[in-house]
Amino acid sequence: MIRLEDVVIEAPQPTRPRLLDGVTLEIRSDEYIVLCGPNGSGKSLLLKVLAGLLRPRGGVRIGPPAVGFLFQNPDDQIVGSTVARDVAFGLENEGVALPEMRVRVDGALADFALNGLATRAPHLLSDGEKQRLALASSHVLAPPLLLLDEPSARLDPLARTESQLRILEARRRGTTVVVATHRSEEIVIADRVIGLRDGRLVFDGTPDALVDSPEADALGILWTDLHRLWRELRRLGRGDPAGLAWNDTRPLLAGLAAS
Amino acid sequence: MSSGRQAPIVELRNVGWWSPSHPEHRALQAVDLTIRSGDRIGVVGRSGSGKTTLALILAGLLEPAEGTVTRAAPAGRLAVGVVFQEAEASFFEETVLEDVAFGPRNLGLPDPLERARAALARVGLDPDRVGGQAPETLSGGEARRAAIASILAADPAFVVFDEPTTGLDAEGVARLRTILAGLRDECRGYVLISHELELVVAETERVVVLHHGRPHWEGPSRSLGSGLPEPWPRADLGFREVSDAALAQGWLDDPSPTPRAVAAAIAPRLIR
Repeated sequence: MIRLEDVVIEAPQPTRPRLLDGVTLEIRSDEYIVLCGPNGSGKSLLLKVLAGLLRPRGGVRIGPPAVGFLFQNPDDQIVGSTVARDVAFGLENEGVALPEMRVRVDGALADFALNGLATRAPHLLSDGEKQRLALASSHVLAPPLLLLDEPSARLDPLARTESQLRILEARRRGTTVVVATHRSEEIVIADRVIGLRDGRLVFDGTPDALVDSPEADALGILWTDLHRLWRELRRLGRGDPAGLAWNDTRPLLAGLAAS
Repeated sequence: MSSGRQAPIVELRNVGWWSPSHPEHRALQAVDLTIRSGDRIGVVGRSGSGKTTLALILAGLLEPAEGTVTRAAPAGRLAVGVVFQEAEASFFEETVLEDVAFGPRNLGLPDPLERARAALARVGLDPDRVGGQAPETLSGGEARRAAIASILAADPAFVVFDEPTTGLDAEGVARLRTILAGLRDECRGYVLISHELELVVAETERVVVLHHGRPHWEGPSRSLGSGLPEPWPRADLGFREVSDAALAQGWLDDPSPTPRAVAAAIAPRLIR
């Protein structure tokens, strides 16, 4: 779907280190990829390269033209005069017929708990509500590729879970998803994790492989307490990866009860 | 709530706010809140519950539509500094260093550039590396740290942090906690608005829960250890189940153990 070959983005000042430095990467369709790395490691830039918004040096081959993109700041992409109009904007551009547009807009509003806010002016929304609006607008087009820059930032814990469900639904429909995040609960459900540091690709593997990798501690990941516990148990040699699934404490509790 | 330490810096009585164009939507109502020097207060609630509106009123950036706000600014000092949710919104100078120096310069504090350099170092940004950069070239997480530095450099008596962890990596969150601890040691209070319950429980004394613009619950932060009242989900349920099981077995003494402590307690007893 996308292939990057030795992609480079230079810093504005030539004496500074490169912002993206020799990134080679292939994204196949139907993958759910999480992009992690410390602040300033190049996650947002890489997403913009994948979206075709930035033209770096090096080889870039991008398959489908239709991309749903979520910017880090929702204010960067909200254009409608009301919440419903903003969600409809992309559909209008695509020439979707009005009856279908209504159905799809209503569906997206419901998906992101915005039904009660449909006629509200976006500037009167809270930050978390704006984030849900930007998410709804990027999902409503059902693009083959969704690129989401920290979708859960600004969301409260309930909205975070809901947004994750929507991403998993999109994935079931065959959407390729690339999500930048610092949160371990969003990392462990992906098929593949790409780790960036100082603009370089330093990890490319499964979430399971990441947990045991020495790179995991240098990627700025915010581990939940449960995931920290998993990592400690594996470090102590007591975690059996085959029996212990992320976020599933049942085998662990059964083991504790039996001991 | 009164801590009895000093005269209040800000006092809100029956405060409410709504947009003149949308009076039917009460963003905030019936808020009573007294903030004294050194208070550490958490504010939590779902998106749209009125948290940011409260922050803007505390800072004096929004006049309440009803109720009264009484302020007692310490002489010659900025009473309340706000670290905005939108870090980018607070930049307007050409370089990061000049931007951070703007506050102290505007307030007539001595050595504004030195203060700016110290504040950048305090948030973990190398003043020599980022000081000369244009603010818009910072990454999202770096911009947030620079915004915190801008407020620290202005030396306010009280700081309001509106979702300060948004976009921060693990090191950034750890550094924020160091900054909060530093403010506590200086007896400088803060309001911490956050969706991160663990952070709020650890770094504040009392919490106000807002729901649909109204105070919904108020009490000691520590009592939130077992989760917020409905509709809030319990944080990291799986970890709590395991640590509660280990506690019930008598393998742990600490009722809020770290993951490392739980792992050490249960690992020898687990069947491979």
